[in-house]
Amino acid sequence: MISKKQHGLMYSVQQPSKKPVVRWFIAFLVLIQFSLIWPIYPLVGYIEPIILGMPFSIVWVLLCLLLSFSGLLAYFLWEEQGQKRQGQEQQRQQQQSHDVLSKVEQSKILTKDTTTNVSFSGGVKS
Amino acid sequence: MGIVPGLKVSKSSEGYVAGDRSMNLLLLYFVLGASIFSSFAFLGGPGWAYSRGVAALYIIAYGTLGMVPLYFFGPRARRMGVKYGYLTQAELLSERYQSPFLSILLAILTVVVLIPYLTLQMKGAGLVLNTISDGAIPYWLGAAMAYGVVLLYVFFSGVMGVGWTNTFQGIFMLSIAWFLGLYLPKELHGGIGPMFEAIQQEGLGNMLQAPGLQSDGSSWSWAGFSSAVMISAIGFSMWPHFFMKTFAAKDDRTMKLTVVLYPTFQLFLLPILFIGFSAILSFPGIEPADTILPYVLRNMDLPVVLVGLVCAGTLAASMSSGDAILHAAGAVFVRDGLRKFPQLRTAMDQKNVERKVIQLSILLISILAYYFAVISSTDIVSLLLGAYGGVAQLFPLVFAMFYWPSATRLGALTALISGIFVTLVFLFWPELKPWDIHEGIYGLMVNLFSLITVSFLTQKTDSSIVEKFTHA
Repeated sequence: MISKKQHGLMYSVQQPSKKPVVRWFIAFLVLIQFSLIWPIYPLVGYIEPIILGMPFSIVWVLLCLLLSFSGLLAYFLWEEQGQKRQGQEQQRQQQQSHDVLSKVEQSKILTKDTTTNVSFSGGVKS
Repeated sequence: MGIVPGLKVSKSSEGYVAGDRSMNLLLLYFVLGASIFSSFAFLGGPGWAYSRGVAALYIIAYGTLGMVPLYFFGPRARRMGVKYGYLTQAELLSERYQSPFLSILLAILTVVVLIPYLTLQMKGAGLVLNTISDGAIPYWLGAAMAYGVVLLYVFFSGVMGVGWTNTFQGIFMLSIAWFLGLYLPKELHGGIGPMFEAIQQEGLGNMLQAPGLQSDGSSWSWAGFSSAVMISAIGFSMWPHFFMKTFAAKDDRTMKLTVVLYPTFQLFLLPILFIGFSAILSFPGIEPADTILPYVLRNMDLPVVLVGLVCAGTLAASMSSGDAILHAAGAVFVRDGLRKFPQLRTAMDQKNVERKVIQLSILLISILAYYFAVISSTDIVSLLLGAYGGVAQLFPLVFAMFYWPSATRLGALTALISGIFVTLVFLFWPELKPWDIHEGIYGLMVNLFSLITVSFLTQKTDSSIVEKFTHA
């Protein structure tokens, strides 16, 4: 019972929270793409200011390259962490349902323990 | 160096084409990276910077995001490959759209677009060997020698040979590129800053102002520059020899991380462009511009060892792209073209000769490319740019394969055929273009339009097939 409910909870919270990030990421990529061509590049593709000896038209392309690299890396790490968290969540759930079972068995001996367990799972639900 | 790893993978075509799907991050990174460090990058890159200024940045601009679609398509394609044994993108597409005809069409398209690419690499190799030997090795012999070696290792070891040689060649080329890109401006102008200052003072400031110049010396239009970047970025990940490498990746993580790290390879194109910039004032008027790197090397009293190393680097660049292309072209031609004819398939299966047939096709394709490189005088660079327009036409089909369940067989076929047709028409008759943008963009517009309208008008593909892809 408990684990089923928590599954529902997990999907309702995690699934929609992933979508906006993907959308932002794609918007970010589109922005980078247009920074490299018309209409954004014409606004900045001049020689001045010279940075590190290079005209700004070159520096700008390099900046875009570095920015897209950092963006990609961040997205990759975020995705990977999401997977890890999901894995941990599942593990914890299994652990919890396992704990609950074992505590139910324990409760036959120690009634005090069951009360703390109930309050704990209540906390998770909210 | 390339043959040894080939002994480890299995003798099947899966081993030959996709390295038993076992490529790790290091290998995949260098295979994809070094393939772009082709002789176009080593000779064309400095050539463009030399004659057209910052227009050459378009190479970096399209590469910045060009690989990103594979972040999304790659893992899906890879998982499908593991599940159903696919090795090429045509196999995926013809299954999704339920059309063996599409597969044959793609096989022809692949070979047609890869041959100019390969020809360019051969020309590069011939040019370099001719230059180092000060003309003692004629151009035709140089190209033949370099590609004889490539053939040897592609022949015997397939994709793992390609992987290991590319890794060595890749590291080698990167070091050479950085060294030369910093050394030449310092030697000729006293540094990168003074070099750009000098160019500006000589009244060539418009070369440094984006988007640079056209080949005739007038300023490039923003429409021309932007559409060239767009079409190349879209077409980039669709090149068969790139896309196929997704099937060689060990797992999803490797595939994604390779895409993430790809821009680090793009960064190495910068010093290569510096080589071209450094020659603008010191060696004016060299024709054709693509020979600027060998020309500078010959005329600068550099130590012999250094010249040798640079030429080896360029040669490595040419060969490492050439091998991947050759390999992809052969594999696609046989698996997606020949195997779709039932009689040929049974004949090949009965005698168990698929791998031999792939090798034979590779030989034939390289002879054809050699013919174009040495004997025919067709303008290859324009053919290659046209090829980019053709390759980009695959993008809507690949995207819809994974993300648009309503796309149908007829939709895909009309989209591809009409897109390529329009691209070809504007390639050969550029005066018909309404605006000055790359012909591939017109092709893409027609392509998308037909894909959507025809797909809505025709009956949907069986949902069990579509779901294999959308849920992959």
